[in-house]
Amino acid sequence: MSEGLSNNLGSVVIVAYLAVVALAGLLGLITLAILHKHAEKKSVATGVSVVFVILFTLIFLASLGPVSRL
Amino acid sequence: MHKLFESQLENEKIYLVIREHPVLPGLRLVLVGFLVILGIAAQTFVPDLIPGLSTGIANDIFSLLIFIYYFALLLGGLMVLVFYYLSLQVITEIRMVDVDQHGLFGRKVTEIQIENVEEATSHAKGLLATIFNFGDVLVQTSGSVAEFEFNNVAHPEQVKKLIIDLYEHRRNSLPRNGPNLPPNN
Repeated sequence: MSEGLSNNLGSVVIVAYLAVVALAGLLGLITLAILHKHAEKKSVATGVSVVFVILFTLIFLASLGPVSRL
Repeated sequence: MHKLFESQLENEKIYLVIREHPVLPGLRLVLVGFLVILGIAAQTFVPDLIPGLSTGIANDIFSLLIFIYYFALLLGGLMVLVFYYLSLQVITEIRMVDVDQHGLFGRKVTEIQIENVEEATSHAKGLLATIFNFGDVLVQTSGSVAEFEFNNVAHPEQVKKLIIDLYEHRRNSLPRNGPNLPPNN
């Protein structure tokens, strides 16, 4: 019974975590869209976008370890 | 080429595009970096200090909370850069334009004509401003916008001088008795 409760909690935590990550990704995309819309130099907007996407992906990949153990 | 502001004319000569001095967003990014280091330290040492967090589901949940913290810092860093880049002031031969990015969805554009300038003052206050030579330029105007402020711009003295020079040039180039209109018949 304790194991079932633990599994249930793990699933809830995973869903909540993925929801937070999706929200962060959405906010990031909106910010980048605004940057692309108003930026005087598109190369600056592209550079910032590439760095953001790389860092976001790295953090997400690093977090997959704890997620897989839940 | 992309226009710096909506009402920019095709042949309008731009003298200066200025933003906040880079040392200020730089300091904000340094703060973000420091908070990242704090997160790494917490991830490394806190589970050892609190026995319940060192193993099992509690450890994994704690790790995920730290990753959420990293995502928040990444977004914070992105917004520092975006707000810095999108908030700018432009001085052209005929006007000054202040573009302010307020949050994600707020963008305020204020314009004043150069000939409406009445007085320009500059000042630098504080240790950082003195070391890195940045400060505020306050422009008093006779138009609908009473004051126009350039905040934390590099070389405020030179910006003030440019505004005054442009004002003098503009005043000398305008006809003194108003535009030449055709006589009424």
